[in-house]
Amino acid sequence: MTKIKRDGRKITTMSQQERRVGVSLITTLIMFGVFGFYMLGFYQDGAMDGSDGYRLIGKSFFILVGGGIVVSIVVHILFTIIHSIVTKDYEPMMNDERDKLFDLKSMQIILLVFSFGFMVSMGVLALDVLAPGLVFLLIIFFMFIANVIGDVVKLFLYRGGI
Amino acid sequence: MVKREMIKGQITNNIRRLRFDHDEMTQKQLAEKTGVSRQTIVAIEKAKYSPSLELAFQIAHVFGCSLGDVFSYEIGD
Repeated sequence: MTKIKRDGRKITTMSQQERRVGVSLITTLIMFGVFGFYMLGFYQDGAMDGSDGYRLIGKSFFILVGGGIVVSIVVHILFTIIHSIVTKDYEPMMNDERDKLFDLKSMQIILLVFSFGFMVSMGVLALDVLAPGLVFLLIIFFMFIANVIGDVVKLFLYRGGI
Repeated sequence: MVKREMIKGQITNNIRRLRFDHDEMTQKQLAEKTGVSRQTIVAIEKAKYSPSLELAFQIAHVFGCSLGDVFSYEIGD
């Protein structure tokens, strides 16, 4: 979005949708960063060896997904409040046909990247390169990468349009 | 074998002029009347996004004119 200032200078600002995607991207990075930090700690402590390790990965994954949903809702509410206070212009968070189209395209990319990552993980498992526990973590890592790429694609679509 | 040549064209619109003719209607007002975000109206005006047929009809309805008066399809070379 381009705004013209009083002195005639043109400045490019982010639209509400772009900011929303940006916030989602930062939330994803922080969430997976914290998850990765904890998993690395568990790995260094040797807690991920054996069948208990698989259980730990399973539990951690559910905490990540559940926590992710809660964090996303809280961040979404906070963003709406802060955005309307800062911009002093309340625009309802709507999801119109353009947003749905971009969501769909982003989801396509997420599925494509995740499918590729899953295939790579299965290849790693088949070739016995990594321990099965680490392959699970590799799958979660590709899930993270897919989400980040999906958000970046959405941001790109909002910036450039189609 | 029959060769199919695809017609390549571009959708252009007169929304900006129509808004001006309708008491300088703002993008926000048009967005509220058609039930989309202001950013979507901006993207349509700049021809960066082609709306669905339903939204195109809604926009034409707001201005009280036919679809052809709002949108036109220009065929390139």
